[in-house]
Amino acid sequence: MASSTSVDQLDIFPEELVQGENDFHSVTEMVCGVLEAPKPPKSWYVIFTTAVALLGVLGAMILYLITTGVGVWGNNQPVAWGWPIVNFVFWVGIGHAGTLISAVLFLFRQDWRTGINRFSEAMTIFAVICAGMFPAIHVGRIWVIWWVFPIPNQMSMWPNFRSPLLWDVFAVSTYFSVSLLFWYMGLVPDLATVRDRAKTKAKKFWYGLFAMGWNGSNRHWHRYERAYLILAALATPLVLSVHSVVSFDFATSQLPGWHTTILPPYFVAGAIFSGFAMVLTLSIPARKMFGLEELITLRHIDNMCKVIMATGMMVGYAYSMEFFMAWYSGNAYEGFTFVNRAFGPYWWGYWIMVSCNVLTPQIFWWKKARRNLALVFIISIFVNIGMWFERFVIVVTSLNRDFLPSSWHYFSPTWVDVLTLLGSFGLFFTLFMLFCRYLPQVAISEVKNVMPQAHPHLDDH
Amino acid sequence: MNRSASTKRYWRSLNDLGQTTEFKELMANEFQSEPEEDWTQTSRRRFLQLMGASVALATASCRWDQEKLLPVVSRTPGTVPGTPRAFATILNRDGFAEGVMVTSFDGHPTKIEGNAAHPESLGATSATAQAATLGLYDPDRSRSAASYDAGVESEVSHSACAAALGGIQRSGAGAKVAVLGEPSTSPSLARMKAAFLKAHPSATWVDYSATARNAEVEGCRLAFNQAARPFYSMSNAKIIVALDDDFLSEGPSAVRLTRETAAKRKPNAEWMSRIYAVESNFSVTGGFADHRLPLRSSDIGTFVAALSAALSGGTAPALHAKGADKFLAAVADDLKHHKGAAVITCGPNQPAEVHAHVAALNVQIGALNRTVSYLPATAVGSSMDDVKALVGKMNAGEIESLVILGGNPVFTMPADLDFAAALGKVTNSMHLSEYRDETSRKCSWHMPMTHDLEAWNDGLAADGTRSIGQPLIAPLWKGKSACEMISMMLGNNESSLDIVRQTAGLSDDAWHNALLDGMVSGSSATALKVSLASLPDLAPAAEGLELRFIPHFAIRDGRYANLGWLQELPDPMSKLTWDNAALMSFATGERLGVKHEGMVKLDVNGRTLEVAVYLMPGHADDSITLAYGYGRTEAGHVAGLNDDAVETVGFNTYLLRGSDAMHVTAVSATAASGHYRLASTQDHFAMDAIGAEGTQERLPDLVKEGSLAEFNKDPQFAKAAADFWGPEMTLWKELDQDKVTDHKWGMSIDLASCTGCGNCTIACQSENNVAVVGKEQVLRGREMAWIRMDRYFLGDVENPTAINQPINCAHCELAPCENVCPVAATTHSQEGLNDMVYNRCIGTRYCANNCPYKVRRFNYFNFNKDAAKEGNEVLAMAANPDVTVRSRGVMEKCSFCVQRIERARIDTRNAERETRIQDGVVQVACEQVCPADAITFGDLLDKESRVLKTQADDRAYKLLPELNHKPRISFLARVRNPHPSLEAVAVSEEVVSHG
Amino acid sequence: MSAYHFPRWTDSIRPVMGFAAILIPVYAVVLMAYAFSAENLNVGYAPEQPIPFSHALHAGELEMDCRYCHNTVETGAMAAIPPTSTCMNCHQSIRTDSPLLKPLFESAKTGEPVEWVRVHDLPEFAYFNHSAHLSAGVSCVECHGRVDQMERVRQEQPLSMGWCLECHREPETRLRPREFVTDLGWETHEDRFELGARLMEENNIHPREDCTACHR
Repeated sequence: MASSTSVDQLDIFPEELVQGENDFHSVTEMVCGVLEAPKPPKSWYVIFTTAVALLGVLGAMILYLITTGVGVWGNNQPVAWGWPIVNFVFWVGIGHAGTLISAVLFLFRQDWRTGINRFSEAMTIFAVICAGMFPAIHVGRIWVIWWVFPIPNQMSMWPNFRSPLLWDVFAVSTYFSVSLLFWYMGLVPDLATVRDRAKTKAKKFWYGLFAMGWNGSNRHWHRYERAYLILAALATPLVLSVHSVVSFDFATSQLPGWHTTILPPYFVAGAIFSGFAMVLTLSIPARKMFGLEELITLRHIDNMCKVIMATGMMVGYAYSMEFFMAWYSGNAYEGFTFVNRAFGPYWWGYWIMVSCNVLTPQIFWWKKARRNLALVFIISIFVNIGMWFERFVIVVTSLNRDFLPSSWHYFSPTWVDVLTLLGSFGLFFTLFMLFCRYLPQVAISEVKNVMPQAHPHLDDH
Repeated sequence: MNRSASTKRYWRSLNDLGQTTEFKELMANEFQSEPEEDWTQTSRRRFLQLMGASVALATASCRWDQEKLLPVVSRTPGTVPGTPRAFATILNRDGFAEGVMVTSFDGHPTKIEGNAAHPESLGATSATAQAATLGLYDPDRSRSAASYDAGVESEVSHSACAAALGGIQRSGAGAKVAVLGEPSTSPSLARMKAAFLKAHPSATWVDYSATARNAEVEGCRLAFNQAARPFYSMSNAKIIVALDDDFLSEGPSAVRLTRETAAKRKPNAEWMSRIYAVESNFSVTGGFADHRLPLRSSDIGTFVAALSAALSGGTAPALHAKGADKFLAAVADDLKHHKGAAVITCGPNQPAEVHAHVAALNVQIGALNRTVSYLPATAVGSSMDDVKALVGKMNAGEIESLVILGGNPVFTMPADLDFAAALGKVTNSMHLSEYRDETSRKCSWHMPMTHDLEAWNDGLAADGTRSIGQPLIAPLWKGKSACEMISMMLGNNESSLDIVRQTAGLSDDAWHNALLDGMVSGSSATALKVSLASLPDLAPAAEGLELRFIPHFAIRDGRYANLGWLQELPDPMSKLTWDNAALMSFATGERLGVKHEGMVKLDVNGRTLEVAVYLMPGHADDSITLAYGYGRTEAGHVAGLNDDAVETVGFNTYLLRGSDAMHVTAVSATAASGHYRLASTQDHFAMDAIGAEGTQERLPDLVKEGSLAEFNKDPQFAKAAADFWGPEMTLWKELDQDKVTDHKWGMSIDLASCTGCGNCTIACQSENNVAVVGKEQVLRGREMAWIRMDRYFLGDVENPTAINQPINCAHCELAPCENVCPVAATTHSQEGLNDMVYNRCIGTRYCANNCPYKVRRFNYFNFNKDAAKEGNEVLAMAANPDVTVRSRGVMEKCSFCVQRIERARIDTRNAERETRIQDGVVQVACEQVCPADAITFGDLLDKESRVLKTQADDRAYKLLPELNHKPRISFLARVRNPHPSLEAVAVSEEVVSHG
Repeated sequence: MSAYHFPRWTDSIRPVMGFAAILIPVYAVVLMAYAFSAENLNVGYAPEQPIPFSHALHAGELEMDCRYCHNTVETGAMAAIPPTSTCMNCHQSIRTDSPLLKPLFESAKTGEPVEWVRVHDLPEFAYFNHSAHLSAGVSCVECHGRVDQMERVRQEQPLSMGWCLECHREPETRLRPREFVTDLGWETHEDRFELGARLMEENNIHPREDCTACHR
């Protein structure tokens, strides 16, 4: 800890995970209050309508794309993968924090996760939905895309299992289904709570249906804990696997700038990095909007900032390592690619990436910064931008200048590219706003676990 | 039986289940079989019983549209449907006959090849010839006769049109009749012309073409007191000096000269020629030359004077160009030491005087009848005075009836004559033309003209060989040939066959053979006996900025403007497509204060035009080169059809061309405002320092080059550094081809022979149905060329050397594209082809990313949808039936003409149970068309194959070997033969790159 | 309490749900692989023709050789439908009054072709070559069935890619001496597999599975 902090703030005496004068009941009230309130806050309507509008734009763009051809995007020869793949990797990356927070931190017994895990799991699922969309729509003939699945057919043809793209299909879908399961598992007890408090018949029925007859009996809790642990164990390797596999799309090809062994760890670190950034971007306004400050506390935010700083530096290390290897390998093409990244026609992209991902998080060395919500929010936005540009740099700058100078060509996006990206945010926020309104945003039961009241003899440490 | 009865009931019940029309169709289609058929046998029924409900679903996609089979009523003997046949015929190129072999599928021509027996083709063709099929099926061709009243078009019958002609011949007063033809070598046309002039002695007949090479003839007239044209032969030319002459791509002999020249560029042969080029614009010849001197066209005369002074003493005028003196000395030295084995060629843009002096020099260096001979003049256009006279008469209203046979004078005539206005003064004018173009719309009548492949015609090849052209298809739109037209004017409607046959005057057997060969063998012209006349000294050229007019290398004087293939064929040097631009040197650009893709305002005697600027490395200073042929307003839906709101493509530079200076003129240029995007297929964007540096560093590894000296020191210099990466290992188990198959296809490309003309690109386009994408898409970098011609500049901007490298799919044995395709749409065939299966491709484009040569092309849109448009159906006939036409969303690339391989395989097996395809039986399109013979394709398992020999050559090297793809294409390093006193350009020098 | 619990009857559907969870995907796959297969969609297709031409009569009873009418089958890619003139060789003297043959005589008179309906219809991107298969010793019957017994031509085989590959992967049982290719009823005492293997050896036949063997 850099700055001088008063004793009681030192982490050996961690501040309470739930602030304020809260008992079990008030926590329940706080969380359920959000979805029981007759009307959501005005801000909710604002965000939701904008999001739905953007979602409409996305729909229109996809329709236009499929009826006209991939040419409506900026992709060209040699940059055959443009924004759609950039967006794909971007969203998959964001889809990381959730499972990491819930699974990995759970296994490491990091109590502070409880405040934010529900949140980030939801985010994960929505992000992966956005991600999964892009590879699907970016192919030339989406109407035969089912050929990538091993389904017996009259052609007697299987997909090519040597292709990293195929691994992607499996990795991402597995990741999605497990995350979904994990998320839903965690929801069950809380859904039961909502069900029990529900006034209207409809609510009773629907929450009841998804609560699957949970009655909080000892047996239920016992099995719940067991299942949760198993799923956590299952999910953990996926956190590593999915983005490693995504990185294989690049690493296994032989393009200078792609063909490097550092890519998997580098991608995973970057993913966690961007994931946490997105959690912050969402949670900071959300806790305010729905008055959850006492559950999602400054300590949570503080911790996340630390994670961001750490992973940010890992990413920074990866950037520098790439340069070192490019020089050390003695491979002229590799060397050129990296010089070209930093100083070629796309220099601006590279430096946006570096300044957003490596420089800005450094401010989190200071506790004051970590606890200044406005600042944290802004920086989290920066990181999101930086990470999008990281993928842009990887995809575009490697492709636009590879081996034969004759085929070098500048890539510039079209308006369809831009609107599609915006549209994907529309999809993401539509889903997220619905989640905020109709599902408990904080894992009530788990939060209660970490409250002082949950521990008898709480006063003797 | 009751079983089937039960089935029926079952069916009705099922019918109620799925009340879809498709379902009824299924009932109609599939259940009318013979009653005795036992249903229990068919898997269908069991399946239906299993999951009945889904049958409605299944049947929804039950059958595609019913197809009809329409057999011919009686088949021509000897024809097999779907099996191509080849016929010899000729195509007209600038008035001369180009001998070709045309592939015909079920009665319609689909592909043009060279005629190996033809002395001016030798099996290769020009780029324009390749596009002939597209021209034939161009939907924009005029489909009926038309009449124009004050610009209002109305379609009329042929007879109505013919009646108007009747008027001509009846009008008796021949003085009021004029014919405007095009210079031609056709004996038939000459005969008809004579017949017409006999019938109307006082009629006016003028031949005009923007590309006519009159200066050559006039030059000979000065030098030898007789009309003649130089006929070069490079087979014995150890020293070649090209003065402002792009003989490798311009002129009637370009194909043969390329073959002859390239054949003498093999370093391991007994001798290797040395080529000097003196020119203002960077031409194909200049790029191929060992030494090139950028010099204003106007200064060529001075150079010639200086050269003759250097050869035979006397005071040499000063040459201002940088390094000119050294260059001149070297040339003179070589010419002195190679008497009788050297030649000096002079370009058509040079004035007669210069041609005369060059002729004199050729005589002096003993070239006469060894490397250059003089043949009777032919395809000569009328003198400018005659043209002016005609226009004068028209303006004076002395011409009542004017018949224009082909051409497009309103577009191509010198601007100062204002032919359009003159035409307006002619009461009865008729234009015979393939298109209703600018001229037709100014005439009172239009008559559709036949395409070369639609009518009988004849002509002389450049060497004078009498060539006969037979039609490959009946006129699609009831067109008439020029001869037929004249015959109509004479009142006797002979068919083109009668006319040509009568002109030929051959016995049936001789005629038959002539048709088989496409020519009358051994009918080449005999050289004229010439003796030098005394020549006045050449006047030194005026200083200042000059403007050169050259025909566009592909669309010529504009007649081929509507052919997308030629529009999208990149200019060999500038790589420009879909446009012409003002080419000038960087220094001149700087002086004028214009930028690349900026605009410049040109002013020639008050005639002004704003043109886009293309800064061309190696262009002579104080000189601007403009290609004409662009800027058509009524060409068609490709090149511009302003009536139909189709924008004009390029700049109409005829507007600057004056009758006083048709080729080179003084001009004043000023920078103009505005930015114009030029669609160049290379150096797409202003190259930054890093890019240029990177290019410079890797070029020596990509395009291996060396001087003859270096080669003699180390013949394998190209192989050096290839194994810098040490032994490579592979993860995959490699297929041992030799065991599993008869063939192992490979290719080698000799960079020493390749001139970079780009004919391979368009031949491939024709053979493989490669789509045209248009300027916008080229700007985006989405051109589809399967084999592209990479062009790099080496050395300083003022006078760099150019290197060419054709790049197509290398069919790597360890192809990186194959591993990454998720659906196995691109796989490796046992014979080592990298198969691309369009109907399996889903379009992830991963393969394109992973291809180090970037030869894969993606259909970003449906680039063939034009053919589906109303009225464009005829376009489909230009497609090769053996190759799938790709729709949007799929990847494509060079297939090594697999359709030709498969045809050869099947034919071989069908014929003599022999299973091996012999070497040379399969010729890929690019190999076949290559005038330089630079591409060799064949079987690497065949110990005798040419490709195996070339791949075993000392100069052979692989591209990017360190990636361990094991490409099946070997390049043979380029070897230059510099003069000792002029050091070869060091490869390490800075690479020119520009926007 | 009722809020906690699902009603009793839900217990009974639990196993069903589990069962369905497994069955539905399986059903989907089977539907894909089987319902949409060429076997179900194409086999047995026998459209009505403008002239009820009977192969059973001509090729069967009259024992005309396939190649009399489909005379390009050994040299070309297509076994071309015979031109009207071929039919007229006989029918200018035989059955000249038959109303069924009216379209034929019309065609001969007007020069307009007879509009036959295509039965065996491969996609445009599949380049099948008859001559190649005949010269290898693949009989017509392998793909077209006993046409000499068909009153109206019927599609006997699926003609799907998978079906083609079956034979390309194991051609032995489908090969026969070249001279018998058009003898649809041909039989041999020899074991077809051994015979085929021998023929492959003798004539150096190895059917290709490369994509470009059919797709170009």
